[in-house]
Amino acid sequence: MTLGSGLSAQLADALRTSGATVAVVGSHSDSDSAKPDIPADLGTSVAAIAALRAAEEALGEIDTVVIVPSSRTTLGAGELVDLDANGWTALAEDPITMTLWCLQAARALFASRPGRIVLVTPSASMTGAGHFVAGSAAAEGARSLAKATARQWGPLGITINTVAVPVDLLYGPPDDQAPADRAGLPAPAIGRVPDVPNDIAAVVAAVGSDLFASVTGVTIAVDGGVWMTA
Amino acid sequence: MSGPLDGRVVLVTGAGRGVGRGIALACAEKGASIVVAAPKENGAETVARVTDRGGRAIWVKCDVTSAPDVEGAVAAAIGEYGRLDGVVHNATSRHSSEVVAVEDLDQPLWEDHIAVSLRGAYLCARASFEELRKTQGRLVLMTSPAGMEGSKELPAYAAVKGALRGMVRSLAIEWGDARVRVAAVSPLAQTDALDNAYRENPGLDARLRAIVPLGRVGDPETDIGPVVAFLIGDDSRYVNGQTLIVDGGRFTSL
Repeated sequence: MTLGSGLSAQLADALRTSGATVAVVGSHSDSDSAKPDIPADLGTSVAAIAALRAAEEALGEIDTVVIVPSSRTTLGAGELVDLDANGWTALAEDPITMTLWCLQAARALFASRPGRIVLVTPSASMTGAGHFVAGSAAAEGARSLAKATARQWGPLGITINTVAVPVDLLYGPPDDQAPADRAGLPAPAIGRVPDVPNDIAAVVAAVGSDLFASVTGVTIAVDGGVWMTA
Repeated sequence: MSGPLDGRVVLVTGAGRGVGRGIALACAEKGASIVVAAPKENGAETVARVTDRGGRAIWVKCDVTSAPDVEGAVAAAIGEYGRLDGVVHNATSRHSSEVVAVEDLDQPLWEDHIAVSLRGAYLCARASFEELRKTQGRLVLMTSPAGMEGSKELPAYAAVKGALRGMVRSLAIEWGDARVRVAAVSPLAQTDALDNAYRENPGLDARLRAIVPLGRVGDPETDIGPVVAFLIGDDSRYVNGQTLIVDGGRFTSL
């Protein structure tokens, strides 16, 4: 199951093609490419729990929850000093808060059984990008929350890992509304930029499977080999 | 008090005690004039410690969740000293050291962490940019080991401290043209919060001393403060967008 954004729809389609039963849960805006399967406001813990329970009712027992806290609908490029307080809250704080509610919902869903949680974030937050201060804060806050949660829930058999993807896969091509990666970066070592249906989906599926049962709290950057600093 | 920060002015939030006070004292020791931005009277106590040693400092009553308060603190720095060279956002929620399960984190507690650490950082950055641009100064955001390696006990604290690292990386890029440098510092220091953690977690003291290669927890003034002072001075002019880990070698992963 995936939550939130245009990337989620692509990811869901790819996972379905590989045989998974998937539902996209979240709110829809005009800039999203597809409507969620289960429209839901994930703005409170109670709402998130209700949304995931509705998904489980529709799909059957859920093994993996994929959380995508940032999307074009929560984005606005521009300099920090020009961002007003409401914009800061929407772009930097709300995605981390949504991640918390979704984690709590996943916990309620899994209860005492093992489960997999995959967080999808922009890799640009790990390396920095101009006009992306709020987005970087949001993604790094979510990643850090995921690590702390991984430590708490490990004994329950619940693993939480992050897949970091090129920023334009989450936000669309760079323009005045979407951030661009840093200038002067090396080209991807594999000779092309990863795509969602073939590359990102495969890694999300693997990280969300029992292949990763002994891995938790880590981040895998799927950028084709641009940054190799880990 | 004289040194590499002679003539510089440094504003420190949450400088009424702990690491913030240590930073204020260390920067004053290096010659800086200090603006203690703190909501409580202990801010005045930090000022007294600086002035008793011959340094210069003022206390500005400041709630970092309030834009007028933060803007007022910056204005006070300019009004009193005529410039601003460094801003250190150190303030955190008063609930920072309270252990909580992720599933029990409720809206009020979460909001408090977000408001003080993360929104406070935004307000400090926004309010101080123009003055820091004039001096080609430095913004320092205090992060934590909790924001790097996950914290089992403090998930909300870990989240906001991680978020600050993201801010630092992108803000360093965004402010590069203005020559304003940005950095994060991740300290392991003996503070009231750590003392509280010892009470919650018996054996933590012994474990920390065992795992830290230098065999001790850092002192806010003599171990952490000088690193922040270094970041504000000229010798760190080419250090940008980084997190400096000041923990005696406890955390050695990249």
